Amino acid sequence: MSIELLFENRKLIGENILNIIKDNGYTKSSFSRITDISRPTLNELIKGEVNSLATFKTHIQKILESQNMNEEQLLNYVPKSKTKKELIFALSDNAPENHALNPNAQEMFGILEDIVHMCELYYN
Amino acid sequence: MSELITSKNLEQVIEKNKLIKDDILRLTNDFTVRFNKLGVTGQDKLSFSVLKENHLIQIPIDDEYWGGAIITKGSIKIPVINTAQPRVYQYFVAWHEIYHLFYDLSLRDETHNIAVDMDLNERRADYFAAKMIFGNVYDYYYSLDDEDFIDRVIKCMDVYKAPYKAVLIELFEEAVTKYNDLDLKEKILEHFDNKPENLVQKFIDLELDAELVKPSYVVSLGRLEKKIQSVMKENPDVSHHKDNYQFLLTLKNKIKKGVEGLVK
Repeated sequence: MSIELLFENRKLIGENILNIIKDNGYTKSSFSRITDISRPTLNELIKGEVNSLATFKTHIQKILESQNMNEEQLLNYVPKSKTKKELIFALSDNAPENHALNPNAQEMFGILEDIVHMCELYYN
Repeated sequence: MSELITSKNLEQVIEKNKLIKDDILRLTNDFTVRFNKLGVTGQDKLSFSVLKENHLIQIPIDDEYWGGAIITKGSIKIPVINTAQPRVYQYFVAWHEIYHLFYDLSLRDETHNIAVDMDLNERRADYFAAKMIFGNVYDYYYSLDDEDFIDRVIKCMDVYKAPYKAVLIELFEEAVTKYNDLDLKEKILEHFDNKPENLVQKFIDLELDAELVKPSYVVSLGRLEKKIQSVMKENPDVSHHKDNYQFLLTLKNKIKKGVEGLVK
């Protein structure tokens, strides 16, 4: 099987990568570090939005090596975990409608999301 | 989202409280019986100790409106408190979140989910918080010798460890529904939308502990760090636990750097 075939099915490959991350106890950030793929690129891979075959090849190779998988296993990956619900918030927030979060607050919410994801992995 | 309470809708809020009062008082009794078996007396300590048993995350977020949340993901519910807000807000938010954690029907499993009026739901959480925090604030207010209305309110804030508006709402409810105290009612309406600007200095001037109206900037990730350490110990051959632990420490350092920026 060739990486070109994976490239043609890159939306599905993206979903499979996300399932591999969830099933093996990684966060997107920790997975990006162990595969040496930047977080924005990893997000593009997961969404199936990498449109350059060369870039796609380079990064898929890194994932295959880190997970000790071949192309066929990645294409036909069966998720171990059922799809989890998205984050649900019960907020204590009375901000006006046009209120925008400042960049520091946005960054902290990103960190909080990563922490909650780890809570999900370790408290279940 | 909690509705923004102003002098214009204060009477409507009291009307809503009337509808939910019996139910909320039942829940505050239920809470005391079920969750305060050790007899913790400080309401601030009690709320935080209960939340900590449920993996409370304390994190400073530079936003004046975001007080906290219960984040539900999969089958878990994680309480979060914003420690960049003054402690009085944190104490109130802690009780507000306890309502969501234990009694909010909209956060139950999908199979038990029912249609919930979200505005009323938030009012219920706020009212639960108020009923857990306040004793007889009306009598306490009148026991104070100070003539100045704001000074009295600040002393109520200090004794009950409660936010400015929460004190006024509680006083307003008592004045309107119990004592027909029109003088106090008018004073509250006059001052409701004009919270004193420098509460820290006001506390100092009244010889009160001003820490209450300052942020705590506490950083706590619940028991997550210890949990991962223990899993690493049990499974020394599984590399991703170690990787996740390092990642968690990186996140913690980022948060601490963020705190340094806020304190400056």
